Amino acid sequence: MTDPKAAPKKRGRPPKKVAETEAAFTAQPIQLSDFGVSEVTAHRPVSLLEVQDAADLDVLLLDSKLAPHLLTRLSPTAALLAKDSEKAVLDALRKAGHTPKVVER
Amino acid sequence: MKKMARSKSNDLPASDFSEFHPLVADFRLESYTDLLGNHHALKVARRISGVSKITGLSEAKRLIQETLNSSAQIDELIARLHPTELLLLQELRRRGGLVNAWELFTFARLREFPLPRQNLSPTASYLFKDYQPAQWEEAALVWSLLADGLLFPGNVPNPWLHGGYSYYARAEWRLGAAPPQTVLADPRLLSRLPDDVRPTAPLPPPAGAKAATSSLPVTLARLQLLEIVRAVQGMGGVGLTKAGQPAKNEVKRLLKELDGLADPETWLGLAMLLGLLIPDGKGERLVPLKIGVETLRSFPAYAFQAGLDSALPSLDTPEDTEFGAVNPYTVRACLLALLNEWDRPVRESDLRAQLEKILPSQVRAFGVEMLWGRVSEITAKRDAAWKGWLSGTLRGLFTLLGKVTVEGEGKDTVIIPHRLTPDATDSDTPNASGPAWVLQPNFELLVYPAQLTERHLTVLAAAEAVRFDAQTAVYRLTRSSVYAALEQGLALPELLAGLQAGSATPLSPAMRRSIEDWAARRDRLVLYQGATLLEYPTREKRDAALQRGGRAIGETYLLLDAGKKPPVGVTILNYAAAPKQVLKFSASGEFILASPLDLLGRALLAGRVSRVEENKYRFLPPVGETYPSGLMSDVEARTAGKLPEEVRLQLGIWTGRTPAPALSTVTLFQHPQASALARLPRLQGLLGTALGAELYTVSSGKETELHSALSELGIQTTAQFRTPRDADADLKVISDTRKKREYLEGLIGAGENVRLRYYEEKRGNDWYGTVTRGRLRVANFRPLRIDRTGSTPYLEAKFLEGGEEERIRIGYIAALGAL
Repeated sequence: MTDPKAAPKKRGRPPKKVAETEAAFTAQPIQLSDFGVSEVTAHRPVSLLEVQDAADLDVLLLDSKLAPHLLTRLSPTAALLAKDSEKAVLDALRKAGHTPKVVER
Repeated sequence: MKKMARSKSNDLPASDFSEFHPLVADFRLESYTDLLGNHHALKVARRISGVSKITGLSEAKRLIQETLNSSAQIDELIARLHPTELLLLQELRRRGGLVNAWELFTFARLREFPLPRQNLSPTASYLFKDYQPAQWEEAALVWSLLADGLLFPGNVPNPWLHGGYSYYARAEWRLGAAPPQTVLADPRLLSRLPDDVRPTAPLPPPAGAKAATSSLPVTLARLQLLEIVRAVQGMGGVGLTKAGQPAKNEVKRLLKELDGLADPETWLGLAMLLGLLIPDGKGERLVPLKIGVETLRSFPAYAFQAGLDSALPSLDTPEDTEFGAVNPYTVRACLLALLNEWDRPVRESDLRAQLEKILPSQVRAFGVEMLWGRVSEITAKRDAAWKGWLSGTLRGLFTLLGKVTVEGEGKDTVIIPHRLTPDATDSDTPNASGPAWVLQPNFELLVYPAQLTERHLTVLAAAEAVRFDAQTAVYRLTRSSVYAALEQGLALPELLAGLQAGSATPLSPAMRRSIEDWAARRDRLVLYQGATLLEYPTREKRDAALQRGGRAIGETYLLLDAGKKPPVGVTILNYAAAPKQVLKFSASGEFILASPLDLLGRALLAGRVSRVEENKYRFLPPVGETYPSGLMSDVEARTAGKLPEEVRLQLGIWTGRTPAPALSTVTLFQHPQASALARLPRLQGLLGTALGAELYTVSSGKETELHSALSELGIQTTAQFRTPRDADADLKVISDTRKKREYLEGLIGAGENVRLRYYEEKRGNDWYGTVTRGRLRVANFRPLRIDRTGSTPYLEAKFLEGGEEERIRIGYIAALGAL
């Protein structure tokens, strides 16, 4: 049923801007890259694992011993480590036959 | 000695005692009178100052200070010294002011110094508050000086003091970092001693062997220590027990790695004694001390040998147990001191005879066994055990550490001590230009230890030891050994150049390529620790900042170079502290970010929240698996204020911490004898779960059948449900026993009855009849009085039904309420 007092329905396509805004606020989960910053922010002290080839990180993320310590992928070749997990990551990498380079910053 | 200290003025100028051990340079006797105790401090003050009547501790302290601050009074004190005291103090000064007391003892006994004069009764028990002088022969050579304050012990108790009878625990202390069994003296006294020539020691008969000052055995010892350190480093440290000892399983694992070492456990003990392996910050693992390892490589041979000498007496050896040695550390210290004194080849029999002369019979106790749980010394075996121990120690530990070489057999056995001095010309001085090893195609290095310099040792850290022989050693380059060396800071070009430079044969292209491959493989994975990551709003801004250095990570991140600080004015998120509370929730469960969220927080939220408005988010239910169980606590840690109940409920269920609510349409059946009806064969299978004594669910889909079954029985049903009143619903739950007692006392005072939900006391069947909580009961009572058993309060009350009395432990009352 239509309300006779309601404003007359507008014909034609809605303005493009409104459509974009609605699309942005859908119930889709947002990803890490969607959390931006409006000003320069320093994160420290953090531990990162960087690989030369993105495929290496793909494989490491499939390792059940390593995956819980690799918190999030900042880029295809770099992952952020969970707090205080450096030793566990190094042990797991060395046990798996890798020879990671450790750089103290 | 400093000329300044020899000025003729009465007051000593502010002297520089840098010629002494740092512990001695800062030592002032008057600051330690508290450790002496009253009686002992008075005795010391009398001896130091020469004043006979001293009344109190403060006066004693003042007199010691005044005497030792005045050069004239120190000279008077020196003039009053007994010749033995003077000779011992002069020897102490030659040794830097801090020395193992057994070395002083050996020094004096070898030269047969007379005992110093001492008026202290052997039964006096006030030395260092509660101790008597040691009772064994010739002990007065040292304790006499300790009693007069001329020497000061590095630790108490020690062998020079006898812990006799005492009503209470005696004082035990250690002076700073002084090694055990050392003694020292006030530097103001030492610096004014006359510079006399060191008295010569009687020498042993010529042994017929050629004296040799070779650094080769010491270099081999150094290599083996470095090998232990390398293996521990490779293992990532050795786990420690709660008592701070290496865990047995970890040591076993380490020993497996060390096939090349003859006696790895001794080397491990030595590395710990020398401070090359130390507990990590948490005290959980034994890890190499980097500066210690660098020092080990760079120390000249004579200094390294001095370090070995300091640790050698304290090492445990198999001979100690085998020959039932009571004082092995002491005898080893005296043996070492004697070898350093003679410093020339000596027949084993002469060495043994001289040691027997020096060592008191009470100290030289061997052949002790445990019989029937008691320690007993078997006199018949004593001599044989002593000879066996000495022979084993010289051929075992002393040879292993390069202290002596044993030549010949039987009566002609000659012991050749190796004592290196800074000015001695070493027959084995490494020739820096000569080859230190031969590189073999199988990645092995045949090493000539005599040719090794510090530079070679740095390169050799990239190889693992395979075998040590008398003149050579074999090392092998492996992927893991090269990796470990690179991790320790050795650069690849340095390694390749060093391997080539030290070798008699060229580094083959195949070997070079392999090593380069190993190094390249290391670069494939880089773990940055303690890094600073700058995050920029846009990629363009990040790229612009890259011109000032750093490394690009992803789209908007920049990894700062080592040692660089973030620019001034940027927001800093400190990951070492608790996360910032930036999530602000509304009652409806939506939240905003008040300031930038840390990366760990973002990782938690990514994929789990949706944006409902600009900077407004809401949690989404999981798809498939549940969320990690720690999500709620991590979100709470980042939330300002409390998490809304709605979000708490959602996250509790989504993380699997609480079960999902069950919701279903059911038909209920209520009757006062519902349980009896449920047992009727006619109604069998029609009633489902019992919700209470009167209330049952009806099995799904059986409603019509139940109706007909009841109709057949002539029972009509109604839709009117009775709501039973739960008498216990209003009961109060008071957790504090004292408050429960006060509440009950109030009811007793007001004459009110009480309903209690309580646990009966259950007495255990054990020896002590331990009381625990028994069955849970609910009943109505008339409270009478509060009673106690010991300090435990009880309620004495009368059952309203029946009237018998009951004694209820108040702590066991779960809930209560006035009727």
